[in-house]
Amino acid sequence: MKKIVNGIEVDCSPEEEAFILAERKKAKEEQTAFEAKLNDRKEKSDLVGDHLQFLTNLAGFLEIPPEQIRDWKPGDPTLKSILDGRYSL
Amino acid sequence: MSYLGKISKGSLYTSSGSNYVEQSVGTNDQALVADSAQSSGLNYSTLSGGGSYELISTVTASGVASVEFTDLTSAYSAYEVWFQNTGSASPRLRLRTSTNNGSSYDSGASDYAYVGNHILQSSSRVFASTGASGIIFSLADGSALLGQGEMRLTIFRPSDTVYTTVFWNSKFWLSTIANSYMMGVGRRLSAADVDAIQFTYTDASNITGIFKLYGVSAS
Repeated sequence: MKKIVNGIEVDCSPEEEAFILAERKKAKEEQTAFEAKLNDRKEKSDLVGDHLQFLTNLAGFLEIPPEQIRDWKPGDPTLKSILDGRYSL
Repeated sequence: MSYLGKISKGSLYTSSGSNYVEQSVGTNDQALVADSAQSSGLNYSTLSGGGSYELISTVTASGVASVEFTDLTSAYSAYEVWFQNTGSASPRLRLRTSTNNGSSYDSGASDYAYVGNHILQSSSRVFASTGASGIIFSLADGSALLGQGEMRLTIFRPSDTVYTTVFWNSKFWLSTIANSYMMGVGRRLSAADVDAIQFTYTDASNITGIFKLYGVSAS
């Protein structure tokens, strides 16, 4: 394994070479973990995208603003009162 | 004009204040400057090169594990490194510093801190660390970038016993038409006299590129 010091190419010492190889092994493991995390995040993002599309479609079907569904929280009577008034649920 | 044959090629006639005196021409590439010590008030001399900004070394690396510059001294208050990646991709470049002139480079897990911003065509992303084993100049996904990376890095006051600070600007192509620009600042988290620097890639690849080390004179 070579390195360049002040423009002159020289051999790395055995200690330097061992250190570099250990760092590279660690970097490869971190890169693999990073890519797995990215893939996982993409899958979750796809799921969220699917849910958002479903809610948008539902809002369109019920003829209410999508925000009414998006902002709904458990216990919030707003959405129920809208639907009650419209469909006598 | 036969009397011109008695004077040398390139000679000038000037004044000493009371008489005309001959100023002989200098050697190639010398310039005529004012010099009150001469009877002519002029002298030819070699101009000292680039003022306060001096090219110290050019290194063309081809598949080596690291590129190092030692013997950084207080003769320069700052150093500048220009890096041009000539590989097919631009992995993450990392800087480490030494206080024993390159016998070893600090690589502890909390030796450095840095923060950078990666500006893309339609967004930007911050990357940072408050405890790293080196100063890293690009995002974790930098390995996906195409080649033609270029960076300008300034290292301030390395010889002072302070936290040595670096600034950088760099660009990489994301594609043949899309730009990617990164900038940031980092420092060694210890007040020490830094006398050598080392560049490596954070992944398993070797460095292929051109480094130019400049010194900015302290005086």
